[in-house]
Amino acid sequence: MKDDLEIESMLRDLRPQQLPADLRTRMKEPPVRTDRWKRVVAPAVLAAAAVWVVSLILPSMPPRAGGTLEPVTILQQQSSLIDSRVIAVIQGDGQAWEVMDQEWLDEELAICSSSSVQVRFTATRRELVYQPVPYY
Amino acid sequence: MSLLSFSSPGSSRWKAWLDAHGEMFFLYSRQQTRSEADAKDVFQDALVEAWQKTDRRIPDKALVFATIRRRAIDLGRSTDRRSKREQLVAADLDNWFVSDFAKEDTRRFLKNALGELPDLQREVLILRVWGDLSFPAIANLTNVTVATATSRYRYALERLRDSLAELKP
Repeated sequence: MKDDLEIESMLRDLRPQQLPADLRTRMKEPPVRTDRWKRVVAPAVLAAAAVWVVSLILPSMPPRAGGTLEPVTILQQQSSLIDSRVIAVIQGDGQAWEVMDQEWLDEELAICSSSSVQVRFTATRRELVYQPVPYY
Repeated sequence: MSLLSFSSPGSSRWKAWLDAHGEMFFLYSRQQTRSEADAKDVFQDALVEAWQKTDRRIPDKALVFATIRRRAIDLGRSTDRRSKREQLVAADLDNWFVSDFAKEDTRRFLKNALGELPDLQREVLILRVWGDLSFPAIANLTNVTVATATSRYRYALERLRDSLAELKP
């Protein structure tokens, strides 16, 4: 009967197989970690340079049709009250207040600087307005 | 962008380290993985990782074994895959060790017996016999107590002894 030491000795006689040739080729050179500035600073510098180049190129590019907004000039702008109704009277701060529902019409007339096209914008909006009730 | 590039500085230390320990680490990689291709990938990744962790100094042996083990697990070594793999180990084990015609019968028998060991016992055996790690180091690496690592080793030797007894009564 063999003892443990003898078996261990027999096992050690089994030498592990050499590295396969293809693996040895893969492991031919040691891995090298690049310097910190190359890993961190260089990409940051490259990114900043890319942003700078893009910022230089973009203004010099001709506008594409429908791509960017044309500069416009506002020729006329006005708001008109078109309706006003008292919808409630409330008490507050020792006096009565009217709550008024007002409807406004906002109008803008704009002109495109490059093509002289005029555009009119209209929109309605509602506002709740508080107004003290006058006592006579 | 890859953080790694391969160049010559430090290659003599790397080569000496690989020559001295590469076969042992690759044996463990084979033991930990399902196929030769996986073993090669795990071996390469683990050694590169260990080398970089120690800032291009010679990494501690236990660290490399631990990295191989973790990478093999990461590769997807699951329980069912392990059971399938164990069936293949006995057949593949011939490639794990150098042939020696003088003692070929005993060695072949021993290799077969190694292949039939349970995975965990074979792992401890490889780390102890070829890796030359202490039992506390093996226990730490395999996440078991020292007593468990020792008993796995004892059971492995016992099974091998039984197998050899059949060969030479």
